[in-house]
Amino acid sequence: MGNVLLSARNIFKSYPQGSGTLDILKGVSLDIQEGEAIGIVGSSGSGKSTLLQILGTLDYPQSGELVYLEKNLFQLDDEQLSLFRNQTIGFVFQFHHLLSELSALENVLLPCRIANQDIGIATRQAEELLAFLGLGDRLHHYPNQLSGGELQRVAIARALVRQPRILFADEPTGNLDSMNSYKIQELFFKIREQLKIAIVVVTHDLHFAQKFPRILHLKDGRWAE
Amino acid sequence: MIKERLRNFTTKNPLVFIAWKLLFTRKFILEGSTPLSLLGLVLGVACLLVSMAVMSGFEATLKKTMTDVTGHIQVIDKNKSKPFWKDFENELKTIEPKLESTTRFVYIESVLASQGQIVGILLQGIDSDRYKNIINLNQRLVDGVNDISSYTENGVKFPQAMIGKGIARRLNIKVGDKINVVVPISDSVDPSTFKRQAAEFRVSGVLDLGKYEWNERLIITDITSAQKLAAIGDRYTGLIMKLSDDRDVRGAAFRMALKLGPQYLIRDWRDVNENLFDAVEIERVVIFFVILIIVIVAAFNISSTLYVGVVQRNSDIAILKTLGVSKKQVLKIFTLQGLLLGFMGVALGLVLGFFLCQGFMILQNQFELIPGSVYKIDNIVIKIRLVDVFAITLATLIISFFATLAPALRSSRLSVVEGLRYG
Repeated sequence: MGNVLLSARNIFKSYPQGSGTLDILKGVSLDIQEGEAIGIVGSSGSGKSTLLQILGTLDYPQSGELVYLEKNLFQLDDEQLSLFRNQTIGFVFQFHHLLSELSALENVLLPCRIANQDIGIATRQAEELLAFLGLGDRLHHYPNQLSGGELQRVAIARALVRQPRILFADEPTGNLDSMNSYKIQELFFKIREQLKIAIVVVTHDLHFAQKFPRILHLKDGRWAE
Repeated sequence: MIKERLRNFTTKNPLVFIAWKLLFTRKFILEGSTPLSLLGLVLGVACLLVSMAVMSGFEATLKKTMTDVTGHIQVIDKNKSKPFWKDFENELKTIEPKLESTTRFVYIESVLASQGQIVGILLQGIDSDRYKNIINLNQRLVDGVNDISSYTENGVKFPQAMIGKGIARRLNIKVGDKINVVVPISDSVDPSTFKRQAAEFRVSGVLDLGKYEWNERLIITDITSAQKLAAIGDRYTGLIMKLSDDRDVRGAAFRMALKLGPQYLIRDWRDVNENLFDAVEIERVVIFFVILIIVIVAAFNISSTLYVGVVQRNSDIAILKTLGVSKKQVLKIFTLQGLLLGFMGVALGLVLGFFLCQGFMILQNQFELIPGSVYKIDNIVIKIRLVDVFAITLATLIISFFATLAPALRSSRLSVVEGLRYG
């Protein structure tokens, strides 16, 4: 395996609940290496999604550090973090979250537009990516014209178009039937193999998790043995 | 062409692209409160344009009314030592090349006696052979003819005069009647006593001079008759001037004042009626701000529409943030949306306002919308000024901008986690 890309150290996260607080993460640490594939499992409420959001800089912990290539990410301002997300991280969620007003191709191009990338070059990359994911004939279809599996593949293409170094996925197959779920699972490993990027997937599907070389089990806000 | 340019502009500016795509959705534009909010703004802008156009037209009508009687500029010699008037006219022409023509004038305070009644009047003497080139009394004529040259009756020459319609009404004077004008002249030996100098004038016309004070007091006659009556030889008060271009009258008056020095009093048509035009100007500003309230209310309707839009788009805003859009950029996207709606409101409102103005002009030409006998003006000129269009556009966009800030700020502060969870 390669070098450590992203390192979470001693992450604590709690939410206010009534007069007290509800501790979600209790000192979780994690190193993600280049090109690594990690499956995170755990029961509902174990803190999997919260951890993923913190790793993806979408949320802040009460304490702890998140270091990317020796840079403490929680010391960056919003503009710098946004740039970091755009350049380095891709997200896939349980629900596709595509913008309904944009076609598949336009949705995939969004991160490139945000980065002010040359739209001609970006369009070619996006088209290739969509073709790679089996959506070459769905470029100009709108979300309401696509099936559940296709929507999720467009969402994956959108997460990959900026060639991120880490792909975070939160229950990416949770909304799909078993056939589409299987296809998406296979796709993740194909992506990892061909694009050489680190993949961290949160799932409660043990069958899916078992395919990962590194499986982590989160229980009550801590790593379980 | 425009569509292509618009597409290029939106595709080359990522934030504009996103704002445009999120705003102009069928659901957002055609459903909910967006069309009604936009309609409010359109109506507000149209009202503003029409009211400003009416005010500008009214001012232009008023200006025409005033210059019809007073000319563009009056030059008065304070020392009453004017040179021969033709030389003076030539001197003025070298100062102001746009000076087209002049007429001498003299004002004499006098008393009018007719049918046993007397009233104080102001007798204005002007050059009977030149005044028609400078002041336009044809359109002011209520009765009779526009002529102040002497009239011969049974071999006797009578000076003629045109009188204000107020005098005619009060003293029941008609065209063709004879009136006596009396001028008190102080005795050169004993200044405490006055000589009475009188002359008979034949009324050639009755004028509506467009101003109450003038209608009640002014009598216009040939300058020679007035000079003879007042026994002032060939002295005159000053010159009334007409310029070939009436857009820079103030500038021309200023240039003349600089060249001629303090001995001369230079008054343009606006100075002559300063209070009136100041009142019109204040009225215009007041009307602008009163009608602007409609625009403000409409803009805040747009604000609430955008607010609902932000709430409905929590999930989209969250996903944009995961893709790398910063809080500041989200703020810009939603501010842009407000400005785009504001711009649409301005554009459609100006078009509607323009058509309303045109419609009013057509109706005015077809029917007598404003009875001249009641309002003195039977025709309102509608004048759309570029400066008004600019002021309306700027004011509306500024209001739209501020109305957009609240929803835009809310969108930028939205938590990504909550947006993804509850969106």
